[in-house]
Amino acid sequence: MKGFDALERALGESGRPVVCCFPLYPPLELFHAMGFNPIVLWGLKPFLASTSACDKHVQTFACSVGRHLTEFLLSGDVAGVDSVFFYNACDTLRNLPEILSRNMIGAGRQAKFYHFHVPMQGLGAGVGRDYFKGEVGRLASSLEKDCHVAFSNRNFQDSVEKYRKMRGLHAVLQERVARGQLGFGRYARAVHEGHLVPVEAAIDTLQSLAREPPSNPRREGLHRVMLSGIMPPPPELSDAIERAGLVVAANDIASMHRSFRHTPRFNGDVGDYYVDFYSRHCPCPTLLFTADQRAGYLADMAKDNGVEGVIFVGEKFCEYEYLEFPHIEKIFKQNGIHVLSLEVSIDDRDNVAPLEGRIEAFAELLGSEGP
Amino acid sequence: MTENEKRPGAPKSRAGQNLTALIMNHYAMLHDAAKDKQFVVWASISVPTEIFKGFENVIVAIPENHAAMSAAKNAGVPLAQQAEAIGFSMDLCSYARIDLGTELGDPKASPAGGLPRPDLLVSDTNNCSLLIKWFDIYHRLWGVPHFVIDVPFCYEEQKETDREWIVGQLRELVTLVGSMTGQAFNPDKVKKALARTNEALVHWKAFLALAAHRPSPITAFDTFAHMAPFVVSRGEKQTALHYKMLLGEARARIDAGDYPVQNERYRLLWDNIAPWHQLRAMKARLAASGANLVHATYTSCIGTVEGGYAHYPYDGRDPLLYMARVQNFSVCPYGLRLRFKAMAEIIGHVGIDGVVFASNRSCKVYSIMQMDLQRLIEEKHGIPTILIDVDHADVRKYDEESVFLRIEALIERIDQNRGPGARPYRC
Repeated sequence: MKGFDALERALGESGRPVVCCFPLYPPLELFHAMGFNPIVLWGLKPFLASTSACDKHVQTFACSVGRHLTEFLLSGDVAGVDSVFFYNACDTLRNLPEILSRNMIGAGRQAKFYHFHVPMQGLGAGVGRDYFKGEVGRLASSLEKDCHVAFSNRNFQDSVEKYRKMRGLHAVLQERVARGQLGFGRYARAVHEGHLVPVEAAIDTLQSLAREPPSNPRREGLHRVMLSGIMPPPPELSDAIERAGLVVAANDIASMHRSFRHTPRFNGDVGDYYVDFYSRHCPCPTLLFTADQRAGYLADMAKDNGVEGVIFVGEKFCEYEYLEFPHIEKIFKQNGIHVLSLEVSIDDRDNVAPLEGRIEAFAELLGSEGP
Repeated sequence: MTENEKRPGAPKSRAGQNLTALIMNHYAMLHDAAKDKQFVVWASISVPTEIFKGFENVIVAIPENHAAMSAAKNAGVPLAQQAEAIGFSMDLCSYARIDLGTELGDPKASPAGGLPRPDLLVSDTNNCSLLIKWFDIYHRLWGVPHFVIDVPFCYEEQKETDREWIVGQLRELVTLVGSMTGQAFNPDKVKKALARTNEALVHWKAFLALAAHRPSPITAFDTFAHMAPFVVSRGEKQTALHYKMLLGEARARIDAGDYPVQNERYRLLWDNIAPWHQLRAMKARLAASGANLVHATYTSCIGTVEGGYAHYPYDGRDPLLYMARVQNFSVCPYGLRLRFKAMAEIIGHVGIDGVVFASNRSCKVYSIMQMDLQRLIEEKHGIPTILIDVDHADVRKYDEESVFLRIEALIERIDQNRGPGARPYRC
């Protein structure tokens, strides 16, 4: 995995100010169109040696996503963070903006903070839709005022097309993973690096990966599994999954497929664009209004991709995911699909052997029933 | 045994007896009304339940209250274990586990026999977002509609656009209940209910303000117990009468010189949900040290908005507008700035020697930011603080000796701040 130096270089070379965003589905196109480099703070553990700065501010029962993004912004190792954007998410992340703001300012780093509120009752109804369009408009106006740049439909359209291209490449690469032509771990690493670099650099990386010859010599006798969770498993576990003879035929990882499935058409109204973006977003436990769609969506995904087993990669302390697991697990089991639930905590990259053993046992279970 | 140690076991006051009767009657009423086919709503604690008074024969149950009561009556762990056996992680909120264990397991372990099945679920993002997922489980399992009141997070004073958004949703809720019950909504009845709540809150705030007296005639433990009527029976006459009685008793204690911690030397502020399984034990052990939790952010916020201390009264006008405005009453989902403001107001009004931040594994929204709040309180007010590990309803995650070791350290720091021979305050 690339280190921070390489990622910072990529950001610096673009000459644009950096806006750090969380959680996973921010209005990237809008920031890009207004002249920013938006990056998404998710899955930062590989880039951080410790959480020593975060530990002074956030309890250990917060998930690793929240703790690592806090570490990233407070450790002072990252130069050039100009702004932070957040929208409403879980009970941990909603508390972080003011902790970050206070302590970044305390350290002499004057980052601007932006946010909007995504109505969690849904965006289909008139009131919610109008309210949210107002939120998007308010954000755009704030950016115009602070950046002295007028919003332009043309710039926004250009940005939309870049993100559409990037998301399209993800679909191609996931297909290659599903065919056993590209290692899932390798793809996951590219995705997470892509969250931290300009979209143009991410596109270059993904195109290079798409041009590579198939890397996995073994394509027969692989058992098809789906991965589900807010983050991919640590690299060691991704490798273990493939060593065990499993291929990731379907991907319900929030920082991967859930983030990239849908790019709306731009009709000249940026508010409408983001109403479409969120209301037709891939179902995700963090988007509360998609809850009713989720079980059916996952069942269809498993069926369409011929999945034999599902591996839940549970992020310890992620309440959204854990409150849904029993229901989703039941649905899969009713459909004759085996389920393995793994729980990954902040330290588990250093202690993966027990989890590797469970993956091997799961592969044997699938193998005993034949492909 | 000192006078202070005897007190927790003393007979219940009239208000205490009234509280027990009120809560027992409430749960009995829920089951009876459900048998009579009345329309049952399950609502989360921040839902402005006065809105349902605009309809006839609509009753409201509050699962969080049921979970807290279960924990207080030592039934929390067996109920939570029933949820864990089904597959719910032990890291999840203990209220949720207790409630899920009650409803999906054997409700006989519940002191109230569980809750009657709902016709409608109404949750509110202003509690915590987890609650939406918790209610979603019942929505899926029982095919019951789930209405979510979406409240923008409270980092500042409520914006006009946010208020309009909440009012719009309350109108949708009215339409939904009207269509499900076949009734027309009567806003005048809601106005009456809000007026009763207003009266109850006037008494409540006066009761809380008595904590400024030294020694305090009240404890935060009293406020934890007596918040229940506000939670389960808002908008009812009996609730206003209860708080009037509670206030009268506290005033009478001052007149009689009869205080819950007679030799009160340390006035502490509690930050988080009540440790329901520890109310008696913690109160007694603190009292034995001359310490009184005189206030709690959890209960002080009731009747206020956005970190204020004063009551935010109902003006008798548009009930939906008022209910939308006071969605920002609960301190738990505030951002750091408003949380600090709320604590500073309490410190200013009541007089606090030390703050106990209860880091609560079951409530991330309340707990994460406490480390920064600790620094702010110490920097801006010069008041010592501690952070203790607690779970509001799961006693398995609580270690009394560790907690009291820290409380003793807090008391030592308070003494150090006062200097040798200093008198803490005039009694």
